[in-house]
Amino acid sequence: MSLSRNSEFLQIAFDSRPVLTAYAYSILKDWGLAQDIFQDAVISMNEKHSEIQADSPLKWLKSVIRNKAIDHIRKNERNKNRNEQLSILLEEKFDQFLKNDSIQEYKEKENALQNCMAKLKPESRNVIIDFYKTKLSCEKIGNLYKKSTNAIRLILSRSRSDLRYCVKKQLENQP
Amino acid sequence: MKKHDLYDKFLTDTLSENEEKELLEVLKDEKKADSFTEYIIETNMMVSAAENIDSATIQISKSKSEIRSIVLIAAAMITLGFILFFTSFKDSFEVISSDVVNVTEGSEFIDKRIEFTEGEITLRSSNGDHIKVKGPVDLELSSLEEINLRKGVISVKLSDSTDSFEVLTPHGSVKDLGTAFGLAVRESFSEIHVYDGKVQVNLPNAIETLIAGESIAFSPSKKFSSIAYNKNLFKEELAETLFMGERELRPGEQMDLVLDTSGKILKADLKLEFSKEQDFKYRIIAYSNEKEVFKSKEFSANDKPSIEIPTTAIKDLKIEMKVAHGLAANSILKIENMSLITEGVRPYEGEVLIAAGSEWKYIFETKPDKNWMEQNFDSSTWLQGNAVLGFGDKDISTKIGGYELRKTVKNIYFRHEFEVNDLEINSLKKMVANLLADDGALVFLNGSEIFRYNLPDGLIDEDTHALKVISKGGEMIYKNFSIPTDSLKMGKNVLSVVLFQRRGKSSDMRFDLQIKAY
Repeated sequence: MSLSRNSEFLQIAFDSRPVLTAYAYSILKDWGLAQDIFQDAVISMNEKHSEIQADSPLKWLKSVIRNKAIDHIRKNERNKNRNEQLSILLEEKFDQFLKNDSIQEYKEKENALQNCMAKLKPESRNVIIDFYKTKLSCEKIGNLYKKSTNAIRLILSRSRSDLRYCVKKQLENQP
Repeated sequence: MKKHDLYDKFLTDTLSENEEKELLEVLKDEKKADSFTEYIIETNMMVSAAENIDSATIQISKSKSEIRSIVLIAAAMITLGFILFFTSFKDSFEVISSDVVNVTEGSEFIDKRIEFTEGEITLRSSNGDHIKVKGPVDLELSSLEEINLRKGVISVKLSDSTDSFEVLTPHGSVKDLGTAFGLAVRESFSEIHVYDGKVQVNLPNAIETLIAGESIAFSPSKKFSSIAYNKNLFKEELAETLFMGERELRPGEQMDLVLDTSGKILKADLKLEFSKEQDFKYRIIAYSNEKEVFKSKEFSANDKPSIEIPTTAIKDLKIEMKVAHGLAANSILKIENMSLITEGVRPYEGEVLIAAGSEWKYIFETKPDKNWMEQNFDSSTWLQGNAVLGFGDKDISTKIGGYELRKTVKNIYFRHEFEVNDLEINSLKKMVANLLADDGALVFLNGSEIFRYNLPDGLIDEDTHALKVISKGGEMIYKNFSIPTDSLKMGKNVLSVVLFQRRGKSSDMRFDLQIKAY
């Protein structure tokens, strides 16, 4: 395998990062861990590129992420009782979302989202991080910001809706 | 549990057995399963984006491969930066929600004027600013930085990235220095309520800066005046000016304010300007269903009374002004400007069935057939004109008869046809007529007498006279009368009125009538 081939694999990995990290996130329910697992998987890919079939780097990567995530759950006794039906369904869905069109779409969305996120109030960004990353309850976040639980829920849903709209507009206006 | 709450719980907590079943049930639908997966990807990207902005530190790992990974991410980000930098966006306001006919979601406006009478729309600008607009409105979207509100109510929420935004109104301009405010353009003034940040109101020779939680009314003539803060200016709990303009009230005369029962407090700031400085005192008394629910202290002419009336379970609130002492009983208070601003209560102003100043058919030289008041009577040969109809005064809209004829007029007969099509007449609570009559009037709806004014009881004919002369001043006052709601029909209705003189050969007669249904 040439260096350029390895770089090509890495490029594919990073293009599919939004979907692959989300896949890890769906198994681990831990955003930070999902990013780490993805990074580990990419490092493995880089080290073992010669063993990977040329036409299936994504399949390989997804499978490594899955094994690493489940291994982590097993070792840390977290979410041991995963609902099998739900897991199968998500496996199928993420396979669909890892097709070329979707990868390209989410790559563009991720780029647009970064710009849109910058327009959001710092407080709204912090609420997003507190809720989804730190996994604080809306009640606790409310106490932090001296707001009601409902106000926090509203910030979350409005931020999501504002971001969706902003991303849509940015993608529509791309040359 | 709501779908998105379930999705969030899946990502941030452990689902119970029942919640897992609920989620699986939702995901049986292929589209919902797709949307669930998209939700996870979207959430993941959202947190990444928030982290990238808020975290200045990147952890550099020891592995060369990891460094290479980071270099690749950085390269991607730089590329992204270039894409965003060189992308030019089309400036516009897009309609993101609308219940207004002919204004569809997705429509885009710039340098355009929007006018509609009913409904609400929400606009979002390319800058991410939100403007909610409520009809009746006349709004010109000149540019992303400047809009012109000629009439109506808007609520503005600016995005953090917007540096400059100005709303022009007929009464002054509003420059936003913060993020959110509500603005209403009324007939003779505008009012602003600041929800967040700062707002600067500019008049030709005056500037006022307001901060969150403050509100003000402004106009070029009266500059600034304080008004009750309304944090929900745009919503149902809309502050309303119930009466503006000029009106004469006799002591003891009532003004009806029909309110819905959703609010708890009716807050009223009464600004009364009397045409003559007189030494007298008055009270404001509120009645509901004939029971006194509020009695103010005594106010003098120079006071600016502020009252709060609990409106729980009040349906029809009538405010009556009573002179306590110091003013002769037959005097008239001329109220030039009275604004009653409600907070937490939206007044229901009723459905106008016949507006004041409407067109009426009339006849006065001869007595019509005895069935002249019936619905199917043919009045096509009658004369017609807009109210106020009559003679003998300068401010009459339609002058009836020549000078000589007027000397012989004893009665004038009026008819007005109107349609009732989209009113739920079975659920009407009441109908009210506001009658202007000099001197007496007998009023029929669809052939049946519904009320009489200044006339004796019993049978009435063309020789009947009004009971008393309506003097100057009193002849300008619209009197309120309740009408039985069951006299109204779906479709065509006819209101017929015969006007009587106190004496024959009187110098003046006048008539107008308005009917509202509640």
